Amino acid sequence: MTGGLFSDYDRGGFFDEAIDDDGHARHGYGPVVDWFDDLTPENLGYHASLRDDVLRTRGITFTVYGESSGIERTWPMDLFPRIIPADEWAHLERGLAQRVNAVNRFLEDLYVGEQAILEDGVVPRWLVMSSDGFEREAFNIAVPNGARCLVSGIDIVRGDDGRFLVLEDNLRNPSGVSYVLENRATMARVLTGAFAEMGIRSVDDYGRSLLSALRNAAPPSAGDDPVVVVLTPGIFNSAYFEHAFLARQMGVELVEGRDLVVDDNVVAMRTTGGLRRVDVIYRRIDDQFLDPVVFEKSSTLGVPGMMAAVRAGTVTLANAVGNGAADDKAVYPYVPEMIRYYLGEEPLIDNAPTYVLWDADQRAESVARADELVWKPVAESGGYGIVIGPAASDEELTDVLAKVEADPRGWIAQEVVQLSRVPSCVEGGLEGRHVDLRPFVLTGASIEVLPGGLTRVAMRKGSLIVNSSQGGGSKDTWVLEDQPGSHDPGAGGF
Amino acid sequence: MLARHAENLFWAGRYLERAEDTARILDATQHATIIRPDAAEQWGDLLTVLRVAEEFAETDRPVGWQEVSGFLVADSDNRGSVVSAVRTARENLRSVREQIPSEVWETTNRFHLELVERDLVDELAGEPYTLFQLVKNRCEAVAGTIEQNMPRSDGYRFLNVGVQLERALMTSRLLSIRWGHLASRSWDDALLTLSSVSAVEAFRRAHQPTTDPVRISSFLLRDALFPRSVLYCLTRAEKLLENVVDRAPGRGSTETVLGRVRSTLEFADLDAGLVDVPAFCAELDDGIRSVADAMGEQYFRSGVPFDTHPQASTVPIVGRR
Repeated sequence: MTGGLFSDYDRGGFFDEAIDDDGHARHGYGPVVDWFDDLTPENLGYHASLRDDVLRTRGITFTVYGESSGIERTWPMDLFPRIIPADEWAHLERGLAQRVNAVNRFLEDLYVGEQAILEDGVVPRWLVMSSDGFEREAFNIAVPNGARCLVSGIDIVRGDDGRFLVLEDNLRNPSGVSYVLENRATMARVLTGAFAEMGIRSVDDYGRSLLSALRNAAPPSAGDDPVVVVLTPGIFNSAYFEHAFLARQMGVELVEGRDLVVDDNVVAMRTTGGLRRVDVIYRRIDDQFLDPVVFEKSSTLGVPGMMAAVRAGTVTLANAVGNGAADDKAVYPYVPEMIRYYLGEEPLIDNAPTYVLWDADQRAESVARADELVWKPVAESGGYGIVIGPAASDEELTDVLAKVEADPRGWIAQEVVQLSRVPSCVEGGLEGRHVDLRPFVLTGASIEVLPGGLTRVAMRKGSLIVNSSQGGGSKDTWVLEDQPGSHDPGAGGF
Repeated sequence: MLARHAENLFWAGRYLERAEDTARILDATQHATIIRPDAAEQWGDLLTVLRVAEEFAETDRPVGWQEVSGFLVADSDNRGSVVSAVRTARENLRSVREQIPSEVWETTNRFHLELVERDLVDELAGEPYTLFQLVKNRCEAVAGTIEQNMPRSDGYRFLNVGVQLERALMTSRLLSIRWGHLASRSWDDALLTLSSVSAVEAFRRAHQPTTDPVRISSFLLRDALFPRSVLYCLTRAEKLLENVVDRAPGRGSTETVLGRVRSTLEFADLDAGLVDVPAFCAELDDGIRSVADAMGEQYFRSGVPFDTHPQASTVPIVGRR
């Protein structure tokens, strides 16, 4: 480093993924740190405006609820990339595949199996049965190849010691993968050629991998050329951008509930040429809204008769119905046990230290340390409802503890993980900001992990909240090739 | 293709065409009033041609350049204004985003953002010519992007049928309203009429400069080469529909309806000067409307009534906002 943008860089006592204790670039970060260090604040501003232009023109947006019926905002992407060296990624990849494999096995056991893990008392039966995400409607519905979590998003963080931990599993409708691909496409336009020699693993193949996994899950009746569609709640859903993106990447139709009908237990879509049969539905609608006949009666997002068709085996839903029983945050503490139980292996990635509050002892200990822990409702996602003890006011803590007392099954407490930091662009300079990572895992013919994933970054100084709905940003995430420079330059974006 | 997507593309085509036509006719009219300051009545005609006279009347504003141009270009409450048309076209494209080339979406999105960011009212008061040029250029850029990038699939066909029907309506409405003025045989009136649909040069080349209203009306209604003549648009729409691949066998009502309208126009005895042009145009209007109704019936089936009046119709996307 030469006294450029990194000259005043302060690691702030956290684990910094780019800069080590001695102020040197860590493994893999060298060229990027040098490149940014050479920039003037004006250069940085220029690249930032270029980025804004690219994102706006491409219409890469997300929707924030609660502000006058949903505001479309431009996607925030930080210019400084997050880098994962090949060896660290290899470890993560194995650990993620192991975890998703075990969870698929658990859900199969639960819905179409002997419920052996419950019989053996490894996971408490009452806990699973009382989960909001547990669906009786899913009983005895077979899923081709057991691919229940066809798409999973596993939230990973690194603590003070740099070790990877699983913070939560998203096994229903994890979103964010479109931003992984768009971030890469944007970086390639904005920092053109700057990192040509780095050997970054491509993410462009995701659409093809997803389509192949979905086709792999088609019912036998579909024949050799199954028809796959993406089902969206519609244009006002916060993830609509992603639904359209994925349909485009796969070259399949993006349908809404009103485009589908069920006739004689077969799902069909309305086309200009009449009704056409559908074999696999990548649905981005929650279980509760899928079919007014069996779920939420007032829902107009789904299709009446859909579940009957699924049960008849003429169509496959991905992800499967009822996965919420496994990503319930009160069930999450048992995932390491599932790995041992089904696979006979030790988990490669640990859970973040978590306390289950239905247990009187753990609850008492947690309540005594209320202001040191993070409090999470078990069924929410997107960061909603979370109370971070050290940052909470007395009222907020009193309030959350009252909720915990009223419904101990409904909450968990976790130790605060001091999230690792990565240099990020703020007001013409670079400062460390906390990050997490959501890798995407596909269950197809085998389990496949998209290299990298969505790195979310808390852009507010000191904040640990990375959700884009709450002021978070994102970073392009570069998984490096084994041998730097050995990649085929024609294959990637750089 | 999905029926809903076909419909979204059809409306996107109509709205893009409307934005362009509005800019063109405003430009021509504004230019004419510089030469003829007495031409205040033109503003009222403009509202009629663009099918928003009633809506404008509800605003209780006086019929002047400032008010009318503001209403037709910048007023986002007027769903037929340029900003609204572009926004609606964009919303329709957004909902079929995976169906269209990224370039088409990006060009339209950028156009929409540009209009939102500009102070349109201010520009209309200053140098409106620049603004009209910009709108026309951007619409042409979108159309060009569609031509250059969009596969010749059914989506392309439905979008362009929307363009052609809207364009045919615009020319026929214009002629119907201006017919009374053309009777004066003044070149100013002929010029204003022709330039409103960019027909001045094409007309001069086809006929020596004449102010004969019959010649002008025949030209606008059914010149074989001029791309904004009603016959040209209908023939083009007919070809596009003929080639739609994804259709149910045995269902061809749209083509029958369109063929009937087209042949009525083609074989009408217009050149003898005995035809009541406004009445003939009104009949065309109805005919084009019934074509779009038949499309809804045959391809979209969503029960959205076709109305030539975008403000009153239940337009997909915007209707749900």
